Amino acid sequence: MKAPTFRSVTHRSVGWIFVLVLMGLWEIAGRRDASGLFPPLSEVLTETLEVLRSDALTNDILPSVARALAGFVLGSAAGIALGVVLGWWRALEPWTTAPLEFLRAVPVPALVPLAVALYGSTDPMKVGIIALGAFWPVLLNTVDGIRRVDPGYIESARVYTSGSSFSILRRVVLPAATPQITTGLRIGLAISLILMVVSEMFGASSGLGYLVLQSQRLYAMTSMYAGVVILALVGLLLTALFSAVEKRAMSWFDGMKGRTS
Amino acid sequence: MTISTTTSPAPVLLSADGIGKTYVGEKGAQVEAIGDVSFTVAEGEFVAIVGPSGCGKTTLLRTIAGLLKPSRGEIRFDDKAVRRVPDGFGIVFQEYNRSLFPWLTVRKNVEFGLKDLPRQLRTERAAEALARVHLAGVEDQYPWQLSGGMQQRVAIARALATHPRVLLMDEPFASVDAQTRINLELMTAEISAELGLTTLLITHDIDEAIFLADRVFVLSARPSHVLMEVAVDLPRPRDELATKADPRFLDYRRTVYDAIVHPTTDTTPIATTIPRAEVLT
Repeated sequence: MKAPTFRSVTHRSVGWIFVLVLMGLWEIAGRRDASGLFPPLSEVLTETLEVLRSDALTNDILPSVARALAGFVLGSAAGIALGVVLGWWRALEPWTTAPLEFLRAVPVPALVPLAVALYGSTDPMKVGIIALGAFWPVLLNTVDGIRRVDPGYIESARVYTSGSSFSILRRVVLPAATPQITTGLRIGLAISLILMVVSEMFGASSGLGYLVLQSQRLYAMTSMYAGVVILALVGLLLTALFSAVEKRAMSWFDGMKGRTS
Repeated sequence: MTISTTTSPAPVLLSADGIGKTYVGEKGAQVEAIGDVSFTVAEGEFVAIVGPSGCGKTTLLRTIAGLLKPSRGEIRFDDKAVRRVPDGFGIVFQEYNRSLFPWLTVRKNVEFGLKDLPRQLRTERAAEALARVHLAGVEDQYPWQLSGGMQQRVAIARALATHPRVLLMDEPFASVDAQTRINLELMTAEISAELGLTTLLITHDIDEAIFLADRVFVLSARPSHVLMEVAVDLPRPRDELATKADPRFLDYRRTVYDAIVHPTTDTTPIATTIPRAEVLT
């Protein structure tokens, strides 16, 4: 181990120092603002802690996160399952390409009013919207990942698996496509969080998105910012969790990339 | 001349009977990769197929292996027509980095073809195969952490672990450096001899073909057909220096070289300036 030099320390901490500077600027700007639209950071953070300690944690935040995760898991599972079918059985390609191109061009948030009209502002509606949002990137990346598997791997698989298509798929094609499927999952998770907020802004009576919208309506700007901060924290936490799982599952891929690049 | 068409005394295990392969090329044109290829490989025999680059050798190997369907003719293994990769074929491809699975450790790669065996037998087979290719202590590493030569040893071990009746090798040593190549050739000769393993090697390297094989089939340029069959009567075990200095070795080499450079039965033009005994494009 080399002792950390001044350079390496500053290199690593420079980003954090910049964050602190921005936070300071926010504080100063907030204190000088008379409109009430930009409360200083200190007030926002105090309010954030208060919200986290209140019953909003169990009434709004945790149910929101639970819906986001449920939608993400359902949408991803469907995306992987259909993606494997479409990616592996190439004969389906001519039938599916055009409809998929069309459907994925529809922004999922635009479907929220329709979903609310059909099912009301219910949990299944919200989970469904989140699932649909996560579904597309996972589906498209899975299809692409499976189609791009090196034919060399598949030939080896045909030699050493007695040729069963299912066994080739499970033992070779899926693992080989995992890096790209994971990319799809990562995007799907980000979209799930966005749709979690959006789905709670239509006729909802609880949830993080509702909290932010309701605070704005009541002109409780500090609470609104607190809601945004909590959303950022939730996003940070889930992404970090995802990265930890990804790092374990994909060590071979990172190692190989490190070798060749 | 030492050309001969003698048939070997041992029973035929693998044969190609009038194999041809035509496929549709990029611009929709019909490409005839393999014209008409027939040969036999007897049980326990080491056969090499040598030909100029671009003569459809890899297509031929894939067809023999059951990975491609021939357009004409038939491959027979153990008296049955080959329609897909048969049990009993171990195959080593040229590009080990596209053939070994990077998400599996060396041990798991070698055990890959043994899924139906009980765990303990799998472990034993893998250890035995890795010992045969002189690889120890790398079982828990990933293939991409090893050198090219070591990766090709892993690929050979993966084939050997299945206890194949035929070992098919497609330019297996073309992607490694010269010194490693000699080591791998010697190792292959040793393994085939020890196990009495029926081996079919496809290569563009004339020296390699003669050095390793009992019989060499010489292919023409595309559409390929067999120009000549050479029975290699050189003592075993073969030695890198002594065998390659043997006057008979040099005779065989000249014969094969002449056949490839001045094919009398073939009208397709072939490059006439060929460096050393290697035929390159």
